[in-house]
Amino acid sequence: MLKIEDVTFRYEGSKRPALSEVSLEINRGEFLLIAGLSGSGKSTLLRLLNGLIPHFYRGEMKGRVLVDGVDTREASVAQLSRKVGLVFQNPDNQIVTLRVDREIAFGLENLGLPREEIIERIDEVLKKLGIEHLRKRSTAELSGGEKQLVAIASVLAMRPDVIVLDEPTSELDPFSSARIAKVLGNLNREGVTVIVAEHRLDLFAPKASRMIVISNGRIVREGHPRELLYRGDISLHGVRPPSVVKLARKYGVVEARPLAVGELIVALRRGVRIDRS
Amino acid sequence: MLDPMGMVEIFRTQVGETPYSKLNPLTKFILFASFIALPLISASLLMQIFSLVAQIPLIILSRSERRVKRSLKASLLFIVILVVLNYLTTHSLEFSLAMVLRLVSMIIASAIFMTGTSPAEIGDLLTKLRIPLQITFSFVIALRFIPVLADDVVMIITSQVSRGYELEKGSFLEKVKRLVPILIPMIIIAIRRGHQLAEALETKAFGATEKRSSYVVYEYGRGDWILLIYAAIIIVVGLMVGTLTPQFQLLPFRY
Repeated sequence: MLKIEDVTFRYEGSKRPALSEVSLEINRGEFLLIAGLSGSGKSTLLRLLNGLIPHFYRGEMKGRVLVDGVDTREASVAQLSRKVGLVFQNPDNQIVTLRVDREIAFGLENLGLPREEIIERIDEVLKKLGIEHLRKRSTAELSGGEKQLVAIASVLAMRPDVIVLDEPTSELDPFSSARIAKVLGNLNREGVTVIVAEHRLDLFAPKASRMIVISNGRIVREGHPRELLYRGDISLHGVRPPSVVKLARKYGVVEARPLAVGELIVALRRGVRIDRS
Repeated sequence: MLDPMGMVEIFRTQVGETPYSKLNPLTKFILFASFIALPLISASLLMQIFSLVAQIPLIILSRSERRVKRSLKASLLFIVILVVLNYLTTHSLEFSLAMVLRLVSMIIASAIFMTGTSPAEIGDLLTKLRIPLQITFSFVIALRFIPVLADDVVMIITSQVSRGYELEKGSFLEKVKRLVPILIPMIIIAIRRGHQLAEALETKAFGATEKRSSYVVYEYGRGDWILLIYAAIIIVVGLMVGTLTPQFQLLPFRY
């Protein structure tokens, strides 16, 4: 449903292209994890998906991006926002109103939906994310994790087919990060296509159905995280593999290919000899 | 020193629940406008006393006695200056007193309005008064970002100070110059935040439709009608006090 065809993009004022000849197809129901260091082109790739590039950012673009068969150059960001919802890194910079329910209503008001439907959708997303208690709270008083959940809720309320998140946990504590990862896993199970850019793989690798690694504006690896992370060479172009993978290698349970802590424990219990040498 | 946290306090959206705060924002605004207009109808002392007394029910309904007291205390110096200047120019104690009471009743009207109306309601009110969305939205966004930028300022100050930067040193002019290393990062951060905010607005389809719908709807309750009628009566009585009875105008030099 999302198709990037041979895209090269260079931001205005920059010499090197941020993305070079990238092609990628994303299907409905996937959980795609995009790994890569800062400056590798992750965010640029995400901005292509909802039309922020080329509509909001100036630069030179080759190739094309199709959302449900529509070229992003032909549609406005507002039109695309109904299909692709984008959640940014810093929750503070994307919350625009003073109260949680109003924040979720904001995008829906922009779409001109009737009030009854807005209320219905607010109820729905608050319940889905388990944050009903925040409904009437002031957005300024929320914790970082709560703010990010509200940001996700406000994007989800617009009922996009795909939700795209740009390093959603980089400003959060480990506990809130885990909560975000869990929420995204649940959403994906309910049929929402999820795309997450992260360099911390521990939380998202176990949930992803596919993973790509970007380096210097090119896709350098692609595959299921289980295969990718246990392939012969450790180097992922600077991306640190999850601790579970390191431990699995250390204790010699590589053949079980665990990604989550639980899987690692099961693999160890199965009587694989622990080699501490 | 700056007290950014104190500034944050003002912009909490949870206004205390009082009979006044539950009113329709438009009612509150009409009341506010009436009580600003009332003392301006005439300069007579009687008029000013009337407009003060007429506000007593609102003070009680909004439970804003403390805020009123605080506002008056804060403007005490201003009031004294006003009395002195008026007396020096008109040599009429009565007129000076009337001018002070006029100011006081306007201060009270504003204090009541500000305690009982949340910033979000003011934003909605502006929309209702047909002010373009770009302007009302800028107002709400400014309020939204005050606590965020206040946090940024605290962060910049603490990080500069912890690297040995002495903020409060030297003469007044030097102190002002010493603010530059606080201001420059502040401006850069604000611009960056603004850019990301614009991106977020794009993705939330801001400005997508001509007719934006509205999630928050304010209703008119019985209280609203009673107070609107009250405002109308006050204005009518005020006009009578101000214009129909010249013998009551306790202002000799007008004739």
